[in-house]
Amino acid sequence: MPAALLYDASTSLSREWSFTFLNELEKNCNKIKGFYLIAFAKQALPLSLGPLLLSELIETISKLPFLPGSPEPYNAAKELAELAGDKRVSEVLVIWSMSKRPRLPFAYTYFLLKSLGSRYIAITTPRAYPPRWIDSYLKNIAEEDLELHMRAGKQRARRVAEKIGCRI
Amino acid sequence: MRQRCFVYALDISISMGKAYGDLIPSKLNAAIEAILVSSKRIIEENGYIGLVLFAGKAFPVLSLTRDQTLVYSTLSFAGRRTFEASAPGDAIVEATKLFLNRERYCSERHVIVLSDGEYNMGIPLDAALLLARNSRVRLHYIVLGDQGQDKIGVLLPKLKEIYNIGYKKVLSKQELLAEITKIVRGDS
Repeated sequence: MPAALLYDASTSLSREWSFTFLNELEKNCNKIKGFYLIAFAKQALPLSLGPLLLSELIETISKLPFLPGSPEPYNAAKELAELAGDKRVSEVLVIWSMSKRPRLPFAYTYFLLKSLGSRYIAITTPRAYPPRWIDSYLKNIAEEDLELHMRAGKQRARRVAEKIGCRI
Repeated sequence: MRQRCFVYALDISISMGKAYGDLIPSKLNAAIEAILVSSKRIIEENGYIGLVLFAGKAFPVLSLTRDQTLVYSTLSFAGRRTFEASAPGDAIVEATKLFLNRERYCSERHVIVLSDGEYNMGIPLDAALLLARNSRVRLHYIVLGDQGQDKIGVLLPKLKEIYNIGYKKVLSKQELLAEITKIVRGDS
């Protein structure tokens, strides 16, 4: 079953950090796994009609220009739902700067992702501390389904690789 | 059996409503005429046609079909109004999305953009091209007329090497028809 990466392509996310994290993820991934790839800022943009391998995903992001506006993860989830159609998306990784509170509460994004059959959702961010708005933003969400990785580095990448089922 | 699917992304921005050389009464009408001629051939050869109209936003108006009458009536409607701005990146994204779940009967996927080279808003073109490339879509960009400020003409040749795009500027009806025929025949 494919997973999905919702990637913050706004100028607020450090590309350098995200490459370090994604390369680490690939290093820890010893099982072939396909990922839907959706880039988002104010708008969301699918970057393939079907799942990509991690190496293809990293190569695609390396060519991706910055998208305008502040990141709205809900738009990416909506795009993913359209793309996946009736197929299940088992795990979703959101790489997000968390630079600004989005307009819609995360519960909208979360429920939409759950409706695609996702059993694991991880948000990874280079931020060291959660933003002030995070508690109210993540309200009404079952915490066991969702992981929030602050200042995500090597160890976190290893854990995410395990959870998304690309590490045996 | 090899089935070829073509989605036309047709620019309906205000500048397309103007004439250029023998592209009359407007570039838009000349483009519609060329699509009609080529679509007949595509359908006769068991291919499929889709259509996306774009100005400041992109609107898919024809999902992949073989119905020539439907193609004709949609295109007649398309030529009636023009709108402000031009977002070819959005058009490429919407055109590519029309191929979603069509792997079974689209062995070849082509998107033909017909525009006068304006590009002033929407999804960045190079981002849209990534989706087309990763989705195995061959993109053909035809620019009608010579605007002088052809942003696409500056951008595309730079991206051509990476994304395998066909780019052609046409200055007359004959050139336009010849280019589309070449693409439809598979010579481009």
